[in-house]
Amino acid sequence: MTILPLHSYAAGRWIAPSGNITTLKSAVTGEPVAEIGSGGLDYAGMAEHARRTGGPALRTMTFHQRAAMLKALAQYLNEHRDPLYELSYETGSTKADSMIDIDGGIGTLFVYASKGKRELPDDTIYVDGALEQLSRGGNFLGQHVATSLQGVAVHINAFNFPVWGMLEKLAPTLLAGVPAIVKPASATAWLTEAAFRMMIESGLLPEGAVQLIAGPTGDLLDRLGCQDVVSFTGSAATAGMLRANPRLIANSVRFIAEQDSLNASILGPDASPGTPEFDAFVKEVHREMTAKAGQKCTAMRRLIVPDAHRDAVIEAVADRLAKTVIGNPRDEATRMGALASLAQRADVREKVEAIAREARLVHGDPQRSTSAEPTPRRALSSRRCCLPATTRTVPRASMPLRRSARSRP
Amino acid sequence: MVHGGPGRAGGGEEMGGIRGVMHYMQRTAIQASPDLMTGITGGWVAGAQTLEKDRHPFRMRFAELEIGHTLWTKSRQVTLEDIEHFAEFTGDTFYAHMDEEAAKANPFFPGRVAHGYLILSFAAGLFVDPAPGPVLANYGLDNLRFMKPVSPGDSLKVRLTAKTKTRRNDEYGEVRWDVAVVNQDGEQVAGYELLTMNAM
Repeated sequence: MTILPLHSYAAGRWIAPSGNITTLKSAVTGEPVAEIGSGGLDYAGMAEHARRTGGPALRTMTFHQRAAMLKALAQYLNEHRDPLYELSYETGSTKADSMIDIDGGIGTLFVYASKGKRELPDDTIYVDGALEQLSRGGNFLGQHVATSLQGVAVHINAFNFPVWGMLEKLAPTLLAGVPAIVKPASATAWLTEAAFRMMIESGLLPEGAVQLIAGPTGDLLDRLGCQDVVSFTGSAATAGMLRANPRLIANSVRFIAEQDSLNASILGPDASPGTPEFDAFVKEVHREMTAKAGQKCTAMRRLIVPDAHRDAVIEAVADRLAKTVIGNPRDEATRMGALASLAQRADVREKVEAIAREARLVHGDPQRSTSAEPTPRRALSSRRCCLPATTRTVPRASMPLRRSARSRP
Repeated sequence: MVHGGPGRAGGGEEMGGIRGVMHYMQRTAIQASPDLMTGITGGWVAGAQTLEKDRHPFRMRFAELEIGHTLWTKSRQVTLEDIEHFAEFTGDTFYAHMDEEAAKANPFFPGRVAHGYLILSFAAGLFVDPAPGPVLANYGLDNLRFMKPVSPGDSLKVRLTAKTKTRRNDEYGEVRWDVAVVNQDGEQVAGYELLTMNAM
């Protein structure tokens, strides 16, 4: 397979990989898929291009005009999205997984287009809240308004949703009238780059509205000021490191982070085996473990179940997992694809080992690799299911069945 | 909670809808006179200049209508017969409208008073311009308050002011009207925002 050179898009130009070039590997076969490196970029120039060219162009548009632009962009991506599925397989995603990422991301653009049209004015200024009467006679008033930041938004995205992760940040940013520099996670960046390329080819966005860094961000964060925003998705450790950047602190740069999501699902004592609630719980647990090979921010990381139902839950979940076909995501029979990278696999194995020191492994073998292909060169994801050997007793009072948020990144 | 929209990553607002957009906007507090505030926000605020014209504002197409365009209606007296007729016609025979002694015992009323919905209905009757025109539909009202009781014998008149305009599509747009109903002493008895759809 051809190795894709991932281009950055800076100040209106496509720039081939340069500097320290890293080879990105298929999550399925381990074969090289792409090369990435951003050593030659003028990061300060990119930020200035966004501020001087992209921002002013977006700010001449009203919220309604920006919403119409998002809608047109969503329609364009929708019509051109087929090649993205092919690239998505190499990230370990099944077709169903890819639809969460690709169709889900495009869907978010549509939602924001619609919300911008219905909930924001056909204007560049947003009136925030009610008028405050400051003088007794009402001849002196107070009002909050919101206007577009005059800086650049730097989007640092996670590996798990290469398309949705980009689009769900671009939608509110562009609707706000702010240009963005997108930095995808390297592990799955070939898919992001392809989707980004479509946005540029659409010709629907004003010059400077979006730029792409395929590779490290260099000194970009050191170049940011008080009108800029960093929007980060990833681990708490990385977020903590980035937000401690002295320049960000000194300039009060806005820093938004989604980090280390932790979600639980709790089974109520009245949802006993045989009830529809019990079945729904098991079905949802299984889906959270297998969709996107478990790599979703909303994936359940703790199941809290009444002691009395513990064995039944373990059995039912393990039973479903045993029937789940794990393999090459290109194979239509496959229900669970691969983790996004070998690094992720190593991380999962390490965590399973750590948990297994205090808990009993009830399904799968973290060291065993499975694949639908006859001669796999690299391992696919490991089936795993760790439930604590001891569970906390839930009070006897009737508790409704709780379910976590549905399939979302 | 807002259904749809981005996840947490979409600007730090899970299911936050437009709240996610605000992460990329600068909030500014403005202190100003009513006229300056109207100029900045593009929406008419109480106390700002009003424009009274020969043409009824309901004769204006969406694009023609100026923010601040105001109609002051004629007065109409509310009689006890009106209140009783409204009560019987609608079935709303709440004691505050029908029983002088019981109404007086209520801390809010001086005696029998007009129904709030009667005030609204009379207000519509005062400001409406009946012939077919650019106003396609009345589709609701916001922030309704009844501020003072209306007793039999009181006279009502209405101020209707174009407050904001929001384009919906190429055919029509939403107009939000600031409506004040005042009595013979110039005291406001009711206030609300009326919503209409106006043809382009």
